[in-house]
Amino acid sequence: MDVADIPGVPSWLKEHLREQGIEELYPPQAEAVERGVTDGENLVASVPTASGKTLIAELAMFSAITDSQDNGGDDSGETDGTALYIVPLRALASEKREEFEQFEAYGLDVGVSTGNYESDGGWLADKDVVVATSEKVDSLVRNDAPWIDNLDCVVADEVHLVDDGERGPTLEVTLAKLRKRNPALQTVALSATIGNADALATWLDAELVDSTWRPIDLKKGVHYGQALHLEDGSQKRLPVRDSEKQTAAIVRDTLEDDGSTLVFVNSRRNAEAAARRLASTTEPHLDSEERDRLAEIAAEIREVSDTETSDDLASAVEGGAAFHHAGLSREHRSLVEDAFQERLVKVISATPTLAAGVNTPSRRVVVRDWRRYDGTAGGMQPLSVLEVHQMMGRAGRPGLDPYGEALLLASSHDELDELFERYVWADPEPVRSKLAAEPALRTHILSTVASGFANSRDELLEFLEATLYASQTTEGGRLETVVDEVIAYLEANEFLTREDGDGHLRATSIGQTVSRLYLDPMSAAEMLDGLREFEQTASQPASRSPHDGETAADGEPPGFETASELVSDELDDTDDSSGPTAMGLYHLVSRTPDMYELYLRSGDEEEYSMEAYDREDEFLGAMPSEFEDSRFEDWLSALKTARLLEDWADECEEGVITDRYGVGPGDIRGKVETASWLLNAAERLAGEQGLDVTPAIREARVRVEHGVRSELVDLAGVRGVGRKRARRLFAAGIESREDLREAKKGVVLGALRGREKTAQNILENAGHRDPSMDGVAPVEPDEAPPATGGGQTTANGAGEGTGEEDGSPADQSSLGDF
Amino acid sequence: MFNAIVSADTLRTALDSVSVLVEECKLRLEEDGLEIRAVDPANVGMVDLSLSAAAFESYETDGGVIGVNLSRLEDIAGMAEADQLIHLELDEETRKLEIAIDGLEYTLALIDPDSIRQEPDLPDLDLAAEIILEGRDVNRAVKASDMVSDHIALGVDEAEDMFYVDAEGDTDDVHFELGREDLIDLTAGPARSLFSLDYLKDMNKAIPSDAEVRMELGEEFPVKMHFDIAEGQGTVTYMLAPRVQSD
Repeated sequence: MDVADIPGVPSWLKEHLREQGIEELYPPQAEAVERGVTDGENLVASVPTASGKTLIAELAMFSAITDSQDNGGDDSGETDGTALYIVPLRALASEKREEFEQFEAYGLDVGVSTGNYESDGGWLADKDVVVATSEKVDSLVRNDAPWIDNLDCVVADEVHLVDDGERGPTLEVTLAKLRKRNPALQTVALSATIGNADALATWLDAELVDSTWRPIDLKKGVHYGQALHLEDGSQKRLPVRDSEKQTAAIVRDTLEDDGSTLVFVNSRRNAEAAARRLASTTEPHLDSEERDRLAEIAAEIREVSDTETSDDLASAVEGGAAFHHAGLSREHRSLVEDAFQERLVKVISATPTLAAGVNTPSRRVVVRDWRRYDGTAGGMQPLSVLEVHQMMGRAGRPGLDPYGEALLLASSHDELDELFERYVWADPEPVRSKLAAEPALRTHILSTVASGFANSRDELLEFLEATLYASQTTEGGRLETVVDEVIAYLEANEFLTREDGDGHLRATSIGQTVSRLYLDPMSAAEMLDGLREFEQTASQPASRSPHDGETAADGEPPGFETASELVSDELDDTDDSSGPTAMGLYHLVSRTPDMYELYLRSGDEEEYSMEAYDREDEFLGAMPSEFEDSRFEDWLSALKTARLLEDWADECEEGVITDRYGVGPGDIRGKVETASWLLNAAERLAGEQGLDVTPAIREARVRVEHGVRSELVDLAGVRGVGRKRARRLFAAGIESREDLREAKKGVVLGALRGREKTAQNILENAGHRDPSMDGVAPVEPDEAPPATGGGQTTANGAGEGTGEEDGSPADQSSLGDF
Repeated sequence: MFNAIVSADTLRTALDSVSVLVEECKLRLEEDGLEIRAVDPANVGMVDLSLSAAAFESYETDGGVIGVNLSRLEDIAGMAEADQLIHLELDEETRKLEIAIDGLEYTLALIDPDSIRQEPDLPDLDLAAEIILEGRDVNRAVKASDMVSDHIALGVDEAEDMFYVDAEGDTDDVHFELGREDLIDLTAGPARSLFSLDYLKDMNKAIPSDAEVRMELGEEFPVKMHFDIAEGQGTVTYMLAPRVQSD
C-alpha cells in the first residue's frame, strides 16, 4: 500500500514518512490499515519482531488523536485527544519516548510516566502521547486520574506478556478497566508471534492481523562441532579453532564476511564477561580509522560515570565489542546502540532486555544460553520458545543483509537434537491468562471495587467478563464461584461492605488504602489482625477475646473468619506497655502470602518448635496448636524466615546467615526487600487504624532495610554508609548523622579504611560543610580518641586502603549469580 | 540393573571428592560409567564427577539413578583394604544396594533421589585465564593461606606472565607466585577472584598431590578446577563461587 493511500491519518504524518524514505507500507502494516486501524478499529497485531509494529501503533495513535477534527488540514499538530502507550518495562518507556519525540516537530507533546505510585499524574493530561508501564497505568486508574477518561487510543506493546504470572494479570485488568471506563476507546495490542493471537482478538473485540511476514528472511539453526545446522536441513562449515569458544568462532566467521553479531546470554555478569572475551576476537579485525572512532566512543562512555561498569564497557568498546543490559545507564545504552548501528562495534553481548524492543538488528544472532537461573524453581530453567524466537528475530538488517541467521549452540549431539526440537522447529506457546490465581483475583477485585469500576456483585461479574480469563475459560460458573468466595473474604476482613438492601458493594477506607498500597488483601488482613490483637492484649492485660464479635458476625457465609477468630487466645501478657518486638513484626510479615517463606528442612521442625515456644510471647496473634499440622508448620516456616531477618538486623554476617539457613546471598536480599516493603505497608495500615505500634514498625523496618541494630539506624540511613561502615563509624565514636557532620575528617577516613572517595561521598551525603578529603590523613580507629580529635597525623603507613576489610572482605556470592 | 566391581581405593577417592561438599547425592548409572553432580546447600561449591566404566573391574548397568548417603557409603568402603575389591549390586526389588567386601556383606538403604537436592547445571562461564599446575602447588597455596586468613585471592598477572595467590590476615600476609616455568601451562588473561578458604580447603583434600590441575579463572567469577582420578579413568570438576565486593 502506498503511503499516500492511507486513510484517516494527518497529512503531516504522510509527509514525515516520505521524508524517512518510506513510500510503501510493509504487508502487515497495510493489512492493519485495511482492517481499519486508522479509522478507530480495535486491532491485535501479531507479527514478528522488527517487522514494523511501531509504525502500526503510530498510525493508530496519530489518527485517533487528530480524528475528531477534519484531518485534511495541513497545518496540523493541533490535536484534541490523548493516546496512551503501555510498555512492559521501565527501560522501554524512555526508549519509546525518544522514538515518539521526533514527532514533537509537528507540535505533538510526549510524556512519560513510570515513577512512583500513588499520584494521579495530573500533568499528563495535557500531553498528546503518554508512555507508561502497566503497573503505573493501573495505579493511575486506582488513584482516579481524571484524564484517563478522555483517552482516544491505547496501545499495549508486547501484549503476549499477559501470560506472565507476575505482571500479566495487571496488564489484563488494566486494559479491561480502561475499556470499561471508556467504551469508545480504540485498543491496539501489539504482540510477538504467538500460537493463539485469535484469542487475544476475541477478548479485545478486535480485528486481527496475524502475520509471519518479515522484511528479511530468517534462518534458524544450531551450531555444533564444526558446522552450522540450519532449519532447511542444510549444513555449513564453521570451524572452531583450538582454544576458541563456539561463540568466538561464530563472531569471527561473521566478521570475515564483514557482518556483526548479537549474543544473548542469561545474566549481566555473563554479558560483561563475554564482551571482555569477545573484544579479543574483534580487535584484530579493526582498521585504524575504526580504532580511532572507537577510542572516542570509549572516552565518551568513561565520561558518563566513573563506575567500574563504565570502565569495563569502555575497554570492551575499544576492542570493538560491547555489552548491554538493564544495569547500564541510558547514555551508555544509546552510545552502544549507535556504535553498533554504525558497525563500529562488531558484537554486543546482551541480556534479553535487548530482545524486548530495542532496535538493533544484526547479521547474526547467537542465543548462547537457553537456560536461566530461576529462584522459585530452584535451578536453571529453559527459556520459553516465545522468548528465544524473539531474540532470534533480531537477526538480519533489512536492506543490508541477504538474510539473517539465528543460532543456538550445542555441545553434544543430543543437545543438537534437543535444541532443534525445543526451539528451531517449535511453535511459540499459546498465551493464557493468569488472572484466576487467587492472589491476583483478590487484589484485582478489591481494586476494581475501590476504584469504582463495579459497585455490585453483578457489575463485578460483568466487568470480569471483559477479561481474557473469562474469554478463555471453558468452565461455566467457575468465575462466579470464585468471585463469591473472594467477595466474602474481603467482606469478612472489612475491606468491602455490602449494603443490605440492594447488595451495593463499597470499599471501606481501609480497603481503599490496601488497594492503593498494591498489597495482596490477604497480607493486609493478616497484618491488621496481628497488630490489632497486639494492641488489645497490650491494653487489657486480662483479655479473653481478642476481637470485637459484632462487626463481622451477621449474614456471613461460614469459612471466612479473620485469622485471630479461629484461635482461642491464651497469650500470657508479659510485655505490658512496650511495643511489639522486631521478631514479632518480622514473623507477622513472614506469615503473609506476599512473603515467600523459607522451606523447613528435616530436623528444622524440632529446632523451630522449641524456639516458637520460647518466644511465644513475642508473636503478634496466637500461635496455632501443634495438632493443627499444616498451620503449625506454616507458623514454623514463617519463624525460620523471621529469624533470618532478625539475624540480618542483628548485624550477623552474610556468610553466617547463608550457612545457617542454607540460602544464597541473593535470597537474603530478596527477603529483606520484601520485608521492608511489607513493613512499610503495615506502618501505613496501622496509621490508618490509629494503632500505637507505628514507631515500633518503623524501627523494625529501618533495621531490616539496612541490616543494623537499633543504635545504628540513624547512621545507616545516610546514603553510601551501609551496615558495615556504620558499625565501624560507630566504633570510632561517630554515633549519628549529627556526629558525622561534625566529625574530624581524619577519624572518618580512618574508620572507612582510608578510602578517600567513599569518605568524601558519605560526608557530602551527611551534609558536612567541607567534605573534601584532600590532604586528610586517616586516623586509625583504635587510636582515635572518641569524638574529640587529637593525634590527627598518626599512622597512615599501615598499608590499608586496598579495599580489603577485616574479617569479611567481601560477601560470598552464589553459583546461581553467574 | 546395576552390578559392578571396583577397587576400594578408586571408590573411596571418587566418594571423597563429592562428600567434601554434600552429605547425600544422586549416582547416575550410565552405560559408560558413573556420574555424580552435586552442589552444596548454600549453592557456593559444586562438583561434577565422572568415573568411566574402565575404572571398574567390571561394570554393568542398564541405566538409572540412585540416591545415597555418602558418609554411610564411605564408612563401608573404609572397611576394605586399599587394593581389595568391592562388589556393588542394586537389588531392584527392595531398592537397596548390596555391598560385598571379601565375605562381609552390607545392605545399604537408598534414599529417594527425588528427595535429594536437585542437580545443578554447570553455568557456562567465560573464564579468561587458564592455569595448569600440580596438585601439590594447590596444596601449598591453600595450606599457607590458611595460616593467616579465611580468604584467598587467586589471580593472574598478565604483565609478569604468572599465577599468584594472596592471603591477607589481620597481621600476617601470604603471597605465593608461580611463573610460567613453575607451571605446566598458562594461558594468561585478566583474572583475580577472592574465595572462601573453608571451601577451598575441603576441595584441596580431594586433589591428589601428583594430579595435573587445570584451573580456569576470571575476574570476580567462579573458579573451575579440573583433575583426573583413578589413573585417568575418572575426572572431577570443582566449581567455587567467589566472594564479591559488596561495597
